[in-house]
Amino acid sequence: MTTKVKVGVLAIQGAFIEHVHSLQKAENTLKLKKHDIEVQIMEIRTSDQLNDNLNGLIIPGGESTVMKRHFENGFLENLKDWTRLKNKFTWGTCAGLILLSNQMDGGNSELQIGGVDITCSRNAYGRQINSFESPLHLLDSQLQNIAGNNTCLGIFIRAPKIKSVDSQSVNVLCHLSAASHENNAVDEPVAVCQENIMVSTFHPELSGDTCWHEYFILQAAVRKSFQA
Amino acid sequence: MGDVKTGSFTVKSGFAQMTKGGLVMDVINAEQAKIAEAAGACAVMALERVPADIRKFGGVARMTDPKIITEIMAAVTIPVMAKARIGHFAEAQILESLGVDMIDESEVLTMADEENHIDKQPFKTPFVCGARNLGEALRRISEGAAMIRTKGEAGTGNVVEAVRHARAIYRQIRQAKAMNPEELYSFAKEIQVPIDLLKKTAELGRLPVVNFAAGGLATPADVSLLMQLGVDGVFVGSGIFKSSNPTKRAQAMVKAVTHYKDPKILADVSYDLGEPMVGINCDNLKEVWATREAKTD
Repeated sequence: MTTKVKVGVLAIQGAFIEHVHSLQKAENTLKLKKHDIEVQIMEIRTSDQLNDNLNGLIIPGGESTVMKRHFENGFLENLKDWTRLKNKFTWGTCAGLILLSNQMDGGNSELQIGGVDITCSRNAYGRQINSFESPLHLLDSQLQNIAGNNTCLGIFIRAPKIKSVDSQSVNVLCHLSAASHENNAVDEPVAVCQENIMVSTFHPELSGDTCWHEYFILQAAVRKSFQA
Repeated sequence: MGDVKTGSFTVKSGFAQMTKGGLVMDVINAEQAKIAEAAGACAVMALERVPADIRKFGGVARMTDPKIITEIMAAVTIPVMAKARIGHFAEAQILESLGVDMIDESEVLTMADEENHIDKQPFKTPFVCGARNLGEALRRISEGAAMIRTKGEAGTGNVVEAVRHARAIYRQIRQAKAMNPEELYSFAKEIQVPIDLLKKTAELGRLPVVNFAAGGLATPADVSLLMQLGVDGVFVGSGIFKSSNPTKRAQAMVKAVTHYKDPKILADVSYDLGEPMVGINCDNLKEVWATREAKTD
């Protein structure tokens, strides 16, 4: 039987169309790999659009300060409640990671959605001139399977850093190796997952490679049968 | 340095992609920049004078004093853009060394070179450039622009020119999309653009980079109009800080970019906004800025 997955992309500000296009591409790739799956994609702009019909949610890159401006009239509470449901899967990229972090290094930590036990730091590599692309190392075996190898391309735009991983239950999916970046002394986690929330500091929606979106769709599909 | 690449076109155009669905606001000091950030601007444009005052005071308009730019950069965490004159690559080099996040090669400033635009490829900082039509947009992209915006008459509070440019760009893209290969070659000659870029645009059915509206937008309804015509976001200049209640208007315009398809929300945010900036009829302009483009023949 065909598995139907309904996913939302938060479309307040930022690169949300890029996520929509990547999800469409990922759905086709999954079908080619003989997954019997159907993905329906919704753009989410208001709180009432984020409801129980959805199985997954992407919070895209953009400016977290802009998105926070829209978190009023119960939207923030709804986001918090929804992302904590065990039968849902949420993924935040860049600004999305900032919003989903439990701790923020400096800056205004109000209006956080939270959910992932990490401490993040905004614009941690510097300004746009320091934005970069680099190969990354996939550590998660399912991601390695989907990608067909253990690397992927990371595009970092005024990116945040995961300063520290603050719980044993946070699973590091991918890192930027120390050899890649001159300012890094150690391998740096750039994508992590804690239960049903995944976050990445980089932008898979800009790279043309769909492995992260395939992973997201499969995770959302698996969790459909979980107890909320 | 290991495998890391900075300043690639992917990284430059990626920056523009992150500003989509957002509002870039003109500011002239750190205090205004903070108001813009708090209101939900996705970036600010650091200026010495807003366009309405450039029109009022006349004279040669140049790159903003680095003191003002660095003060604004220190005041906010959102990206900071700044303007260089058309063709003035030395101003652009200075702006890059200050670390501004994007350079606007702008017709709002006095032209520095009437023959040539800046070669934007070698810069690591991304550029945004104005365009009145598809030809101008693709010429700027071929020079390395990572983002395009309309060239509406800045400082007028009159949206008519921005609408004309957005209409022209999207109409010409639709025309290109319907053409066969032979026709595309002659269309490329007609609008004076590289054939490869035109082909790519026709295939995509949109510009290959992000496209914003700019010039004369003064109300949430103006924002909605341009977004519905197809732009990815908006620049607002004089329209905010020349109005009677900048904070309220800024917040309303920010909401309008996200909810441009929802007239109910637009009515809500437009309610009791106070006086908008006093507009200028574009037929009575002493100086038309939109036609400022270095020679193309």
